[in-house]
Amino acid sequence: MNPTFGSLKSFSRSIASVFLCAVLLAGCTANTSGDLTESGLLKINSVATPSSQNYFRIPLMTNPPDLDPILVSDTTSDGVASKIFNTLLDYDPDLKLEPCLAKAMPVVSEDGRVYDFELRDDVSFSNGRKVTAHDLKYSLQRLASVRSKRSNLIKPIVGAEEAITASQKNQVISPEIRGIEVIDDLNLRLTLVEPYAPFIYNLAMVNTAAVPREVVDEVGDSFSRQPVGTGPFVLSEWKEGTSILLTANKDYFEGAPRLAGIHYRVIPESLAQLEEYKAGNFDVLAVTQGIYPKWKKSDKADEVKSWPSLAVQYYGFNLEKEGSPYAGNSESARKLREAVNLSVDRKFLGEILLEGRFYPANGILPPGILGHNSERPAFGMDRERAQELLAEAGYPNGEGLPTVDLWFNTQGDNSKIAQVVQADLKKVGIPIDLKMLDWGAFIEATDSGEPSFFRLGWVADYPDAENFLAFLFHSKNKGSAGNVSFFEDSEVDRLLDESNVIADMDQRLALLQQAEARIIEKTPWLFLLFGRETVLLKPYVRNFNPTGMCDDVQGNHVRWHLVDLETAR
Amino acid sequence: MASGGPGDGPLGLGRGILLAYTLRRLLQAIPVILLVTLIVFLLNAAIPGDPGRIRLGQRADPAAVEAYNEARGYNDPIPVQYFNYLWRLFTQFDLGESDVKAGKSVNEILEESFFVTLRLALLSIIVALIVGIGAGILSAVKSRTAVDYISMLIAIIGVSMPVFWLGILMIIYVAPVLGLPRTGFDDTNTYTMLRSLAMPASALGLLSSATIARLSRSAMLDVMTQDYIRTARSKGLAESVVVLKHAMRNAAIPIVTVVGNSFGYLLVGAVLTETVFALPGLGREVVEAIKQRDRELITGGILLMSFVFIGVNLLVDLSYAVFDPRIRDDRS
Repeated sequence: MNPTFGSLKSFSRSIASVFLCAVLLAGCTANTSGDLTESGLLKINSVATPSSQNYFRIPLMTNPPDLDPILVSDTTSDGVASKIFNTLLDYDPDLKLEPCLAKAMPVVSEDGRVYDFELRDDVSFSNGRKVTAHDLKYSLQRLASVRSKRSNLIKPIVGAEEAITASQKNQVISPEIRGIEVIDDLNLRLTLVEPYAPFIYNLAMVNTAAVPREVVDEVGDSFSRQPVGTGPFVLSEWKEGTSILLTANKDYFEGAPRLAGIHYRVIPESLAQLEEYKAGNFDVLAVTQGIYPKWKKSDKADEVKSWPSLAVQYYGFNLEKEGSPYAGNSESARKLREAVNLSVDRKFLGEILLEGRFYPANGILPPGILGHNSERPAFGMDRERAQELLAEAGYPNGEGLPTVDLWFNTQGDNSKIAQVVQADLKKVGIPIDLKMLDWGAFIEATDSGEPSFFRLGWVADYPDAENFLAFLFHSKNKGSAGNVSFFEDSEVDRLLDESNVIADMDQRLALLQQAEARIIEKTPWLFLLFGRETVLLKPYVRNFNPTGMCDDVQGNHVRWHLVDLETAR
Repeated sequence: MASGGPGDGPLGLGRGILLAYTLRRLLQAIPVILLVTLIVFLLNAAIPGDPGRIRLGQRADPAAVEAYNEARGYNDPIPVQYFNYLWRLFTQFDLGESDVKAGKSVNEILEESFFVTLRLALLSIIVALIVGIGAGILSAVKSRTAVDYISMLIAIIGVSMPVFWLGILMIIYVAPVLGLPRTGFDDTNTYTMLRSLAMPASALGLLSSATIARLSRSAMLDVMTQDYIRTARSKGLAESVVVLKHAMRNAAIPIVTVVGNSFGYLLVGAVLTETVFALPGLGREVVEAIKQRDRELITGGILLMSFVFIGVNLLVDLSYAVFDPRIRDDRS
């Protein structure tokens, strides 16, 4: 080898490395060091001009898999579908149920089993045909088909169980359910097997939306890609993985939308989404790591909007896991679980690690959920007491305490949170190892009760305590039905069952709050965080009033026909 | 004719046997494809995660999950599933229906995404060829001058820089200056399509060009010291004719090999570029399918990628004949 050439080569490599570092450093710093305004705020260059075509522009991380209501099971699909379809009931901005396709709230029989709905007579599908009670019956019955992802929503109705079982064999698209009766074109009766107060919330979920039978018959499975509904917007174009264009349904029964349309673009990379937002190509943006603190302290702080998220983050203990020191109903196991709860610095997690978008939980039910107890103080940290409890449980300073794995899935901030929790627990002598899996493997493992300690969260399907407590803690739901802590307590079961048959809301909530208090006492979880949904919203957007009910960047329950862009009026 | 027998490589090709050689290569692809389907099937079966549970969601009724798996044949033994799949594939060229996107066939999904990636890869390779070969020749001709060092410095940066980072830098700093779309794919017409692919194709092409530049430089340096180049110069030919006609042609074969392989990788491995620039391409589609355990789409996607690789390799082999007269005119 020519020594001169060799040294030149290494010289050029050194120069290249220095140059590369400089480029990378420039890339890292250029975007974070902005100018300051006169008042000392960070100046962010962000264009605030609405679309000339009067479209509301929303970025999506992923392509929505399905828009057929019976197949919707993720928030992305829910957000798009809820603009195309309507349900019998919906939520007002205070999360109270109100009539939508129904003319009024239903008349419920004294025994709480029969719901009589009168429908509005001015609702049409976007193909122009009037909506009747027959359409609602057909649409609800479709939920029993084998393709449906949410057959559980109609299970309380008389005859639904049989229809679901039968359709799994005969593949009927809309099997007859005798508890769904058409009284006449504008009157529908639903009869339940037994009183079940939370059932009414199912009728506000997009899965129960009205669909036109003739279109479903014509296009079959493709209905998911060519949906037709009654909503304020109509699907005009769907370039899978790229964009979705909804245009205004001028004949919408609540009034023609003020927007000309909604234009979604799928951009999986959050940094690229942010650049498009700053360039004025989006009207709203989901706030991800790194954005919130910077924008909150900038001249564009008014673009940061947030509202309570109806969700809880927790680490669950598997109470039936053999060999786990945390399992079982013994006092020693309960003290261990309490010690874990007292060892974690939730404030650090919420305020520092997660940049103030989360805060310590004070129970199972987050604010906004009927039954949330705002009086109860948030779970705090007390390492001294934790060590006392460890000693009382038979493990002074953690001596002899076996190491368990904390299982979590590869998503978002899960790994970072787990590492902090691991470090916090180590400080009091509680050893844990971390085990990370992808979602499919993780959920299969938790369903089958494999991990003894695991991360999960729960987002409300409807704003009622029952949706959290029954799914996650009723003994009949152990395992894949939701209760993956394998919690079992006959008193909690009794309180939950009793609350289902009581129509009076105050009495129901009293029972549900008792159930929550009892569950907290048993400490089946490491109770972690509640959160706030946070977005950036351009200042010219009007009437974007989220309810918190599944409302993210898409504003799933926003009254979209009222949203407008100020300068476009 | 001695060519065409077992063991003949491209160097043994005569004009008449080019077709036979192509057919033989295609036949050789069949066991490869079968092996790929088998491996993907076994991997799909080995990966934890119930497809019905993933499809129907965390809150689905266990009975519904079971019914879904039954209806889709996921409860059948793997050999039965495999046989059914192959039967559909070879009799109807049907890759099945997506588990995740209701009402969409895998054929349809792959067709849409493949043509996005194909256009991206073609544009990228054009960028890579122009920049890479240009820089390589320049470096070789101006060997050990500032031009050479600067070109190779840029090439090293290009090789070292991750495409997602280059992509983000281009979105922030280059797109606004050039007035190009930052992200997305618009195939309304050729103009909008080219505009939407300009940034990702440049990012991807510049990275590939770095490898091509380094290889072109060394291949050209080897050739430039050969006797026939000296002869060509002594005949008084212009330097440009010497470089482009005599030297470049002889340096082409290793470059073609690398370009061919790069093209193959661009077609199947552009997932990061597609993610950063929000292009609905093949790589992104398959990665999403893997995340969501869309078995039919995973299998179909990987099969298509295998076809693409086999096809590109075949084209590269055949293209040797274009550059080397000894291969093209071999009648021995």
